[in-house]
Amino acid sequence: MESSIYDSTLGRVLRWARYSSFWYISVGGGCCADEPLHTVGCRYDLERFGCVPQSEPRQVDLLIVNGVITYKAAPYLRAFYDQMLAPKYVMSIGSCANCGGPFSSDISYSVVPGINKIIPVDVYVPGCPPRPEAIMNGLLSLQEKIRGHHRTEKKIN
Amino acid sequence: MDIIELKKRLTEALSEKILELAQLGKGRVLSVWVEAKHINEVALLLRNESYLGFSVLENFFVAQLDSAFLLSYYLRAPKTGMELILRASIVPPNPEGLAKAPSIREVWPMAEHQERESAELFGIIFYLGLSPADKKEIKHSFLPPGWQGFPFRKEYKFPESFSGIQHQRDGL
Repeated sequence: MESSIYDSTLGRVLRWARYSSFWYISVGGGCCADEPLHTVGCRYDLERFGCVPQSEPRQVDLLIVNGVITYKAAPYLRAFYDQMLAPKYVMSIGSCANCGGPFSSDISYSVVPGINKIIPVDVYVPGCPPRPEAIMNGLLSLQEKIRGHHRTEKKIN
Repeated sequence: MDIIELKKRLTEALSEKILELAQLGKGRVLSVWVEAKHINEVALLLRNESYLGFSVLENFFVAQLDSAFLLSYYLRAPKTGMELILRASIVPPNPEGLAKAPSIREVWPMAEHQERESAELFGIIFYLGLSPADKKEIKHSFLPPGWQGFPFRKEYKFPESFSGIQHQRDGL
């Protein structure tokens, strides 16, 4: 709570509304695109956190990027992000979207080494691919970030 | 028709144009090397002659051996079940320059997609007719527009940045 500013009750209500009703859209560039589908499915049931998959970028709060993003796909991803309305959040799933992963910059000529070079990212979920529990953990830490707890920014030492 | 008979027939039909005719490994597949400028005549003959009948092009690929490009055409005759590999090699004028090879898409239309891919990634111009046209650029359909160089060549160097994105991981 060190860096957060206390705003009025209205701000708390707004933040509560935002973090408990994530409408998301998933941009799949590779095999990690299966994992959000499992996470929203009946076993893990992402809808109990208020997440509903959408099909239009104008209606979503959360953009989930998973899989390989190539230089050819980069301008389209940027255009996709620009269509979303603020406040908007981005979650990057899997090693390829985080940093290039197995297609890192000294192996592949065509893969963008990390989508943070194209759009700002709020939460990174590591794994190749990450399990649904890891994706849920990423979502919970994004909720905490919006709530103002900043678990993701806590220093290790 | 077995492989010995096919060998005999090919030698009769293409005697002057064959550079090498050999069996590939222990399989029943023959490999025929011809000069690149003759490849259209040979292809027409292989497709049209009723006793050969190689009407299906199964696969086409390009590989780089030192400075030369090896073109391999995998053929099949549906009636007899025989397979054949037609091969030719071309050399670009200089390591960064475009190589030129005759196109076979009028003989086997299926080759067009594969030729387009090889043209873009290896920097080869596949021309129709007898002589190459004055074509200086290759249209990009796989790589993003504005990409420099031919990525599948051995001497290709990775770009340092593309459209404002640094081609390096953060923190390295």
